[in-house]
Amino acid sequence: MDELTRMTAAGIAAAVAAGDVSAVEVTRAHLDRIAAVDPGVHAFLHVAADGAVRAARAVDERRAAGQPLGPLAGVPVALKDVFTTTDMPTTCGSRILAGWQPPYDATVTSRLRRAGLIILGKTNMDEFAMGSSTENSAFGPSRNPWDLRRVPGGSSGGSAAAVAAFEAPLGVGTDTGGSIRQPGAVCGIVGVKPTYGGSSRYGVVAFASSLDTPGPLARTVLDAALLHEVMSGHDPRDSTSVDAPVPPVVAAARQADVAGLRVGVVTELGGEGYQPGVIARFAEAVELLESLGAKISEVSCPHFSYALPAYYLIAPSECSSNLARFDAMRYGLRVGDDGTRSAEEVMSLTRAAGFGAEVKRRIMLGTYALSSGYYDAYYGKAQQVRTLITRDFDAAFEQVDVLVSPATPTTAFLIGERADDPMAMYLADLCTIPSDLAGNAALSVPCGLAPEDGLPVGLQVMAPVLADDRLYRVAAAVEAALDQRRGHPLLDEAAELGEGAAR
Amino acid sequence: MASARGWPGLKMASMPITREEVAHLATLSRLALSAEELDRFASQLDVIIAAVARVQEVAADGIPPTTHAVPLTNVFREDVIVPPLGAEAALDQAPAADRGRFRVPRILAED
Repeated sequence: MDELTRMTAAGIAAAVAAGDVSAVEVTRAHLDRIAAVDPGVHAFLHVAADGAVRAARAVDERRAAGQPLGPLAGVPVALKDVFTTTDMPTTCGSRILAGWQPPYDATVTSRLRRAGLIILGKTNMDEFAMGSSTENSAFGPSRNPWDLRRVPGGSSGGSAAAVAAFEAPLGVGTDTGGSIRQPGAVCGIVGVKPTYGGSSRYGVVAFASSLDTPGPLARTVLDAALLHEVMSGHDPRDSTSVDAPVPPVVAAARQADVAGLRVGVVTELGGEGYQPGVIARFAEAVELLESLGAKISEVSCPHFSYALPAYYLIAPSECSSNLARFDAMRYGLRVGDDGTRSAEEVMSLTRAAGFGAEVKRRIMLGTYALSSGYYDAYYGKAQQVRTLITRDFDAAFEQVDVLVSPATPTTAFLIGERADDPMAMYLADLCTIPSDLAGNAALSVPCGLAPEDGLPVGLQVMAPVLADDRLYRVAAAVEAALDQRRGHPLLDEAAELGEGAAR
Repeated sequence: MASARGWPGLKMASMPITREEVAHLATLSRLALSAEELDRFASQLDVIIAAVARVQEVAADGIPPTTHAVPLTNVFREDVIVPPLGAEAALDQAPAADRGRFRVPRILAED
């Protein structure tokens, strides 16, 4: 493997700025890596080789002209296929949008381009971000670089797999119920859900608008912080965008200090149903934080056990409304338009042919929950539970500065293991959903391998709204201590992927 | 096929959803489902709805609903004129276009 693909984003940016390597060389090294391993990993739905090299050349020209470069200029990035891009298709992993080329860039896309990041292509995802494994993609699942028989998590599984397989140093995902943190955890990398509204939803194809949050994936905490800072911040084009400065996440990642920090272990997120190796690594991470000077206590959040049912009412309800826009009239697939059928028939045939099973299930579940007669018992009740979960967080954050839990109940499961069992699949987001419902900030940072299967375990850290910087303090401290103890980064323990082998 | 193993505190209960109800939901959702899909979704939705109905156990009298994570009031921006997308770009990806407009199937059914 080319050494350039092993570098951190921070290292690449520094080398490009110093002229030690060109952005074009860096980009070509990553394109070569994609060509070698992506037949097996299937992280990408679209690779934009020419566009990436052109963007890299522009960075090299700016440098040659003595113009200032941003902190991530010349660094390649893998973009989830839910962000609109004018020069690449945007499919959301759905047949209904196959080949769709949007007329505008998402705000996140524009910010990456403006900062001189090199977009290598668009990554695979569960259809419309609904799922925890990428198995709901219409274009086939991505595979976990630690074990190609296993899922990389989801829905941002393509971006997570690309970063873990050294196809890109950085990835961008979206988190609605855990779709950044869960794939980050099971691929052994860092995944961050910023505070809701901290990053723009403009040009993000909507799933559940009150929850969807774009965020970074990276192999190191500092790299995630650098991307977080570049992609986030107020956007007048998103009416729910928070008009406040981006929390000082890069400074916090460099600080990497938890001395005196009050850390709460959530009572309700652990115990029965959790894999023993996950529990063991999590307990060690808590001991580690204590040894680094954090003050540990246990905190109960009694309504968290209702987060999963509340989420599976709120998210499908919003999805059933948002996905009504796929009506076969203005863009995307159209089926059965033979001159005899009405618009309504064409719409129904198109949606039946264009959506996969999970999307159909959630649209119907949401339609049910919003029906008159059921609204108060389901959607209305779920919104009240959402208030109670937010109050649990508020009470907890009066006692502690951050909360911690395992990021997922289990390590990466086998492809196909839960594909026909929606309820088992939904459990993958058991620990991550509370922060989505409350809109606060949370991340997953690797905390070792489960002894029983040798697969990565993630430590979840949760912080109050707009206190995203606390996440990075904790995660950077854990990462530094574990890397030192181990003598190398965790990903060094992943098997080298057979280059060129299409498994 | 669907199971509820591991959902915390789950008691399987109440209000089964019928195949007819699922067919009605499919119509409302504009999904022309096959008979096989209706059978499968009916049994899966039955399990899922029983699981999510747990929210009804929570004593929430007088608790206000949360519609959005971060409370917001009306959001205003400067009234600045920016160029619109334009008809050509808007129609570029249309499944069918005709003389600068979207071409759509007839709106009214025969019956």
